[in-house]
Amino acid sequence: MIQSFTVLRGFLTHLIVRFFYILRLCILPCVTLLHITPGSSHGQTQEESNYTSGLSPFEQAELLRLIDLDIRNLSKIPIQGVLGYDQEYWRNPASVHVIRPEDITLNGYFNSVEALRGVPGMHVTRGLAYDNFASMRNFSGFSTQKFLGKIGGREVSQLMLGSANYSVDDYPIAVIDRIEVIRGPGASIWGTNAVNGVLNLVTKHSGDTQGDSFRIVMQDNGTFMGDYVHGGQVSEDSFYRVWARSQEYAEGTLDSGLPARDDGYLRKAGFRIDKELDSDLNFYLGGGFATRRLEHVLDLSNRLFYLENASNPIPLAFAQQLSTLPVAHPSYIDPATLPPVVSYSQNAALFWSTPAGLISYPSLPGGRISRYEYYGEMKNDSAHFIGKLEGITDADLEWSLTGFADHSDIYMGHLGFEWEQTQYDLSFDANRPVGDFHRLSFGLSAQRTELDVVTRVIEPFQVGFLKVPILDYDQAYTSFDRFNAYLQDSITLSDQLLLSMGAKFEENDLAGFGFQPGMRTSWMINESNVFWAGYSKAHRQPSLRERYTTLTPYKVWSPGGGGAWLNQSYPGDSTLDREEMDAYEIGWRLRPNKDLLFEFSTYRYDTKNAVRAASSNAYEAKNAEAYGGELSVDWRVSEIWRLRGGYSQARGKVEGIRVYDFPENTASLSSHFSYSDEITLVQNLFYAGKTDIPSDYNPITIPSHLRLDLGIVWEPKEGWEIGLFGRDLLEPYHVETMYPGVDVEPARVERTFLISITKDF
Amino acid sequence: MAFFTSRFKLKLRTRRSFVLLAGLSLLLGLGTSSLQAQTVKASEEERRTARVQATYLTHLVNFTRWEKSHLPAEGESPKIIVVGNESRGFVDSLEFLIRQNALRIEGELVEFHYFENVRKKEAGEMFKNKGAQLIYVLPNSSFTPREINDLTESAVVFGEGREFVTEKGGDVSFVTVRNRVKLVISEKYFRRTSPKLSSKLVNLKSVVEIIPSSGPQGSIGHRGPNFHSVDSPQPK
Repeated sequence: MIQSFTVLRGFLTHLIVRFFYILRLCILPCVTLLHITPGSSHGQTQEESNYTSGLSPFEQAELLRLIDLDIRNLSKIPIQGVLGYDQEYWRNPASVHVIRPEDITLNGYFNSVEALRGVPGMHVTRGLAYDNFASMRNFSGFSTQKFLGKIGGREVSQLMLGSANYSVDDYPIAVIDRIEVIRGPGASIWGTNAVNGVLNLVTKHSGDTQGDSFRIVMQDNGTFMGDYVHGGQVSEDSFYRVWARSQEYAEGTLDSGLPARDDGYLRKAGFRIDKELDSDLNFYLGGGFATRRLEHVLDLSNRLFYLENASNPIPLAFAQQLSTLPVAHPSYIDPATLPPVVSYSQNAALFWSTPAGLISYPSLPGGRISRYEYYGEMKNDSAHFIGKLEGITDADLEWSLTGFADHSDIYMGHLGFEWEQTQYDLSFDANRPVGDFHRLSFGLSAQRTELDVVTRVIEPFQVGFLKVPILDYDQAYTSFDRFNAYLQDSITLSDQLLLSMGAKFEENDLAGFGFQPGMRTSWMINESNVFWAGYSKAHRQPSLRERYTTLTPYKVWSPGGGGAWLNQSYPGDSTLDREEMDAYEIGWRLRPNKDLLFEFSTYRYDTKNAVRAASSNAYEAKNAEAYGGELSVDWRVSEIWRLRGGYSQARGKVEGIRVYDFPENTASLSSHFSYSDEITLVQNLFYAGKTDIPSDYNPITIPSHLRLDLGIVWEPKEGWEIGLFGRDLLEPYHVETMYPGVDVEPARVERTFLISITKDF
Repeated sequence: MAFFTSRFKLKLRTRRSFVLLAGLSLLLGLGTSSLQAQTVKASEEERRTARVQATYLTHLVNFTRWEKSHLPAEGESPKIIVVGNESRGFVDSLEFLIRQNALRIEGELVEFHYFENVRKKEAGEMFKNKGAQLIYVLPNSSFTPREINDLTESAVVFGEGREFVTEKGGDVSFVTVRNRVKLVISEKYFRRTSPKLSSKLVNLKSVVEIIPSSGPQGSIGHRGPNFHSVDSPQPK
């Protein structure tokens, strides 16, 4: 059976990559033919063609989108838009993918992060049972995500790691309006940290979530998630909703077969109140909290070393083996030079005396050492409030004032590292027409972040005289301010040509004063084709981890002079400057008819001071270049069948040397086939090329993998969905990622089966 | 699997394909722009306004109830009729939505008709002889709501500009205010028995302005927002 799966997997891998390669080379001639006769594809009758001859395929597709909006949301559609704001506008000069709630439920995804797997240019991996990690385009690295995350109007990135935890910040599907994935920097609109792109999760107005909704997802291994949302009306112009989520994580398995002990739970709840204060004057207040308790593993196998000679430390466990060899053996080590057991096990004798098996040691062929896994509590508590007042004046000035306060407390027990982050943010955004052909948008914002960082030395690491934690933080840096302002003009040069120019100015304690200009243009060549191009200078601020933490990943026993334990530390670099990226993008959007859309985009990034993990576990700034492209296809083959596919290539070089920490090729193919009015058959295929994850002790290569998900969704009556899904069906398990730097053994991503029951409002 | 593993081939292929795609894209764009000369059309803003209006109208059909006496005889389809001239895609948008959504009135598939001004007489005869359930009067049409009401009682009469409801006696009009399309609705459309609009819309303060009708029961709902339509300025 397994062999059959392997053969099938190999075949499908070959087939899908061949398919996209051929598609890529053939696409232009094919679509040329298609678009020379727009509206004449796939069996449209002459009568149908005549009915819609006055509308372009883009206009027809927009009408289909508009008709899905209710009257309240229809009234929010601007007649004159700000270029770059309306992500679904077909002339938007950016590479955008929009995920709808049904894209999550119909595909059997637990949460919104999983749905990012189908977005070209994004790479989603699972490290442990409870987290999916998302990265975008090149150099996304792993924990440091080089894109901006906004969820429900809040910027959710943690300054400490420069990343967001989307599993914790996620919302119930029923309150999500859409998730906009904008690839590439939008410097003048989004500002700092939107280097590789932006992820913007937009929630619904409370008036659109009236009644009761729930969703239950149960996986065969015991993982469970339940969402409940209730919405009501207070008065004719006031609405509210409350929601709660409970999630239980089943324990996974590490690549070695050891238990990952990553089971735990997540509980969260939230609310939102919307009130129409007057015509075109609206207010909402939202908030929520989340608490998550899990365990997290740290591989301590290679943390104690013996300094055989000045340049060659070897694992202590291996040195102990060598000390048992005959004295005449060239590798023999005198047992008297080894550290006394009490020197490293006085506080954790039980830990060091009970290894969890053996592992090979790559630099010593044939050598095997004891494996030590340390498990610590992973705590994540957070709460936030957000308020937004927005209106439109009689002078057509559209404005909004948004403020939020956010507090999070994250404890990484396996490292003994805890930080509390409190963030306050106030922003004002506005836009208004100037003359007939300009729309000016502008804004101001201020943000303060305060940190309280506590470090502890974990028990097994209480070694030697100087007890140093694995991660230590420079307490001189605990408060950070950020101010910015932006100005952008959207100019209608002609009915075919749109242009936006603008810049964001920012004063930031972490990145200094910066100026991020951007220019984008969109050219509607004809009714079926839109070209766009953009240039942006984008900045990314270094994370606090990169700047102000010192990593002490291992200890070395120096046998000379009676012997002593030395800490091997790699301090952060407080002089790391902001990353500055010149980004050039070209895109092409082709819609031969309302049912078929091709989107193609290419990019080239030149980055100065790209922060990279140096080979010694510290960080350093290097110049980097990246280029690549994405192709996506959305084809409603017929009334009952929809196909969506995507392919992306990404190449990265750091100072001229190719790097592979992001897969060079990714592809996806999704099919939704309505067997009847009630039954939909779902198929998803994902391919990700290999990635190399750097590490001092244990650099690993994650092989390319192909994933097949199949599902069947039954809608017994309107508003109800019952889905059965099989995920990762091609193999019993594979590995997708691991935490670099601190060496957490990767966990298996296993074949799973799940059932989901969804009741809409 | 040598297809994946050959770095040389990959590098070559990558360069070749990007150059090819970028180059061909540009050529294709330049070439096809001259192949398909864009016909002169209304501005994108006007066309977008028309699309939003057509979508509103499609929604409002679903919020309206007609009594049997205001529906066509058995075997005939309910009718949505647009009168007047236009070039911003409203008629095409409405027709597209009606067909795409298989729009129904009281369970029956809708029949769509469009009469330009030169066919006014033909339109009038249809109103009088066959009736209609919804009539949209384009701004340059020579029909007035009152004229239509004299010809048929079964139709909801839509138009544009605030005065279409406040002065000309129409039931619903679209206005463009504050960069958005909104609705001005005569209170009689909520009050009468047929065709009657669902009172759910009364709550949408930011979307709907209700123009009170003078009657024994007074006005319902709110007076409406301070709409100052750009195409029909509010008298001071």
